[in-house]
Amino acid sequence: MQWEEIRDRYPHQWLLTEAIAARSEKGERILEDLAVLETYPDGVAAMNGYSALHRRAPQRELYVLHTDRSNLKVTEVHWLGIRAA
Amino acid sequence: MKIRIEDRLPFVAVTLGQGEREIVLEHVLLDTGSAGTMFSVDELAKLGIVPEPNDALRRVVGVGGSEFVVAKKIERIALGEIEVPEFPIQMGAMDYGFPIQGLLGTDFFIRAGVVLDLARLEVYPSSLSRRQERGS
Repeated sequence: MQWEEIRDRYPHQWLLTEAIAARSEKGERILEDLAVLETYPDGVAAMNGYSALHRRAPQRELYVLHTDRSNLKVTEVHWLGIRAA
Repeated sequence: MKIRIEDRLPFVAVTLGQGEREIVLEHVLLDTGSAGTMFSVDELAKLGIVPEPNDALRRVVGVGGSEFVVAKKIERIALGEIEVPEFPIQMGAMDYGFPIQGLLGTDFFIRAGVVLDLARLEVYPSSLSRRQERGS
């Protein structure tokens, strides 16, 4: 789904989403197609939901998003330190 | 400030302050391989720092995969006597399968001007190191 469509369907909510299609361009991650996996009452609960799924399936590209957000800008940064594997 | 080696990695205690609240995190990794500084969402929530709808979003890519983090700022971050105000941090899940509450990255070491003395297993301000050299 496109972000605008998700915002219409899930207004004023915290979501755990998965990027179904995404690309990297000029230091940004462009999220072209998103799936909604879960809704949460607050941001901390959503981050904990992210944490649990990321541990089980680290290769899935997950984002915690609130649908009050209009701008879907994701900056991509490269660190060499520990990363969840 | 003493550095503790646990599982062959260097850990320190870090004090975080926001408004009237303060917490001490005993398991914070010294991570020169990390450009940025990150703390776990559960610890930051104790200070009232929580995800907000319009926080800046980041995808951190590194060895072993990628993860999602949220950009935040903290009013006070201190490593022993070394305190830095208004420091940019990342809020992340930090679930690596071993106990870790945060990591101090290169951005913190440079801004705070610290010496990581791994022979003595101590962290101290660079200014102190210069005074010692002059005194000797």
